[in-house]
Amino acid sequence: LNQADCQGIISNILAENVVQPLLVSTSALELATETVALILRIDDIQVSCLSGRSEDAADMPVHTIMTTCSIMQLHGKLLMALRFESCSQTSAPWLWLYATDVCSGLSSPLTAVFRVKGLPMGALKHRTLDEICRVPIASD
Amino acid sequence: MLCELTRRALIAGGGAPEIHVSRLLTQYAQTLKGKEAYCFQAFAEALEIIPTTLAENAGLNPIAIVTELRNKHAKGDKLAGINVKKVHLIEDEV
Repeated sequence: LNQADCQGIISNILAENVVQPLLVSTSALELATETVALILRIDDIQVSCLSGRSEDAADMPVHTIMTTCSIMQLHGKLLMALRFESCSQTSAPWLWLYATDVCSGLSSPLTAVFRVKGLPMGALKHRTLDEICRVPIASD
Repeated sequence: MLCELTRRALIAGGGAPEIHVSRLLTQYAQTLKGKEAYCFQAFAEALEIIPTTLAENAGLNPIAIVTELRNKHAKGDKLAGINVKKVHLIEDEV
């Protein structure tokens, strides 16, 4: 096909009665965006948009790195634990536990259930996730 | 069926919504900096796969078609899409 043929191939698509349901596009975009956000969060590229709890993210020290990411099942919920440590070695480690329903899978928004703050450095080291879950934590 | 029940609306097909969203995301990415701009740009480029595949499956040149489509949208023609039927007309003439 030469360029002249291509000119006519792009046309007003409503005039041709080529339509699709809105839900197809919105659902595809929604699921794709959630997946991208999840991958970026796991890869520690995007940590500032934590399930809409931006006040938590604003609280977090700027120079933090995600050191562990564990997933376990507890009380019928799938828990994902993300631990953030400060690079400055002075402020306390941060631990986020995220829970999501097993049935709805990872596509549902992960909601933060607990936040551990102010624990001394090393208090969470060399512990399994099961032990971490039993550490006295400030629930909010 | 589900679409009929939950959200009763029809939009233009033929790759028009994808190109539209892709252009808006590209514009937004240019206002950002660093890794955020890169991520938004990558998402916008990924959206262009849909019209590209549509053009490929219609036996058209995807690069020329998607460029033309983006050009039409840049000129404000939001309803511009890939017309697959036009190809049949050309075949009929031959």
